[in-house]
Amino acid sequence: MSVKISKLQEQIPLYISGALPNDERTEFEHALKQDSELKQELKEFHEIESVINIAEEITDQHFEQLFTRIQAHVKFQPSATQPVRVEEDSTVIMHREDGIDKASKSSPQTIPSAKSQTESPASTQQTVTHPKQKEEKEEHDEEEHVSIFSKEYISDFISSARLAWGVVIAQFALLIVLWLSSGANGITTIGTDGKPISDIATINVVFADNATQKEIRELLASVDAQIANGPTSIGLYTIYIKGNETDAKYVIDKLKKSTLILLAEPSFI
Amino acid sequence: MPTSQPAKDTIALELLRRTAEGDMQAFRELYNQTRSDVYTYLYRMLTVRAVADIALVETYLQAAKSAAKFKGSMKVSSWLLCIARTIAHHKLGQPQIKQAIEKQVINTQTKISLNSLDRQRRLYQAIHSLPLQHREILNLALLPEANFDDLARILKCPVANVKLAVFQAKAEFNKNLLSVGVAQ
Repeated sequence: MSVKISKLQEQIPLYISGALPNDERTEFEHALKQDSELKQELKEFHEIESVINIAEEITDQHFEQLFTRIQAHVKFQPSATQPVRVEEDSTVIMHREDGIDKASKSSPQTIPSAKSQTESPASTQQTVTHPKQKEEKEEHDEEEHVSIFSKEYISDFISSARLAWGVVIAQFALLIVLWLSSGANGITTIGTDGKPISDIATINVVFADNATQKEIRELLASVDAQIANGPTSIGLYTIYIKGNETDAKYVIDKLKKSTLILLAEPSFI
Repeated sequence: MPTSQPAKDTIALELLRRTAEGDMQAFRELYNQTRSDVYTYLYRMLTVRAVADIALVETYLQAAKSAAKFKGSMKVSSWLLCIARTIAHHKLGQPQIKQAIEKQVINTQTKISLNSLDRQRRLYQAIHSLPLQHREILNLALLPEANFDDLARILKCPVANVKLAVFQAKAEFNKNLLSVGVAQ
């Protein structure tokens, strides 16, 4: 399995869904004629797709109906760059106030008109009580603002860069203290055990079912690799080599060229 | 001529930016552009159409709410799939939805059997016997507009892990095929 074939195998889902650009599609179809492995892989994906997609056709009309449902409930969160919108709808403001009667709630007027002042005692009463209500509202709003402010302050403080830098400086100071207190020998963690670990790279591999022990041994010896772990239930091995990421890449490319290898990727386990 | 993928991504990004400013028309266009992949993913995961419908609505409501917080670390379509994924997994954790899905799988199998598509029924059985994570990776890998790099961002893991996960899922699927009596 060459590197190129591996790339083509990655393109199978895109090929099936028709999302492959024309030139890559032509290249893929050309490779398909020549490579039975790729053909088999495509067949497998086709089968998966045929059953994973057993669904009724969703019409545009259905999507439109769903959007109407979204539209009915959508609430946009104002972005930080947007100006803060002042709530002018009095019914909304009144809705927030407790203890105000329904009549005044339903009225969008907050300042009584001259006509209403002379109309009835009830309306006069409303005029008299209005400043009190306003006071209560202001108090209530203030409380709300205080609690919002304290919440915002805490959340701002937690997510602030100042706190992050404070933690960094504290950790740095701690490291300096540890370094100074440990003398010239430096710090040795439990994991390092005094040995350098940076010159080891690990790779995940899956061997072909028909690969013999001898062939695997020879293949690993040819790239100077050793088995670190495996096989798992799906036949996955973790091998390691002495070297860095570039060396690992070179070894992966070399392994992929072998017919004994089904999968070779940088290790993550 | 259809729009190329990078152009689509740029358009989606612009639409999301306008959505963040409260532009409903932009939100609608974004929905029209991305709904197919999101719905396909949700439907494949949740199997029951009504549940997938609700999940789609919830996904876009969440997207509208969080549009201003999008930081551009991935494609907009991938970001929407991330939201859809969270919602789908939340739903899959609910016992009544689990039950409905199991029922739906049995119904579909029966429906296929009645149409005498025995091989198809077995294939369906093989895919639905897969553990959720295998089914999900195959679902994502077969989405029209998501490549392995996108999947790595959605799943928050290296590309190598995605490849390995697809490989594992396919190996498991092939094993299931044998167990349900489908020769390769």
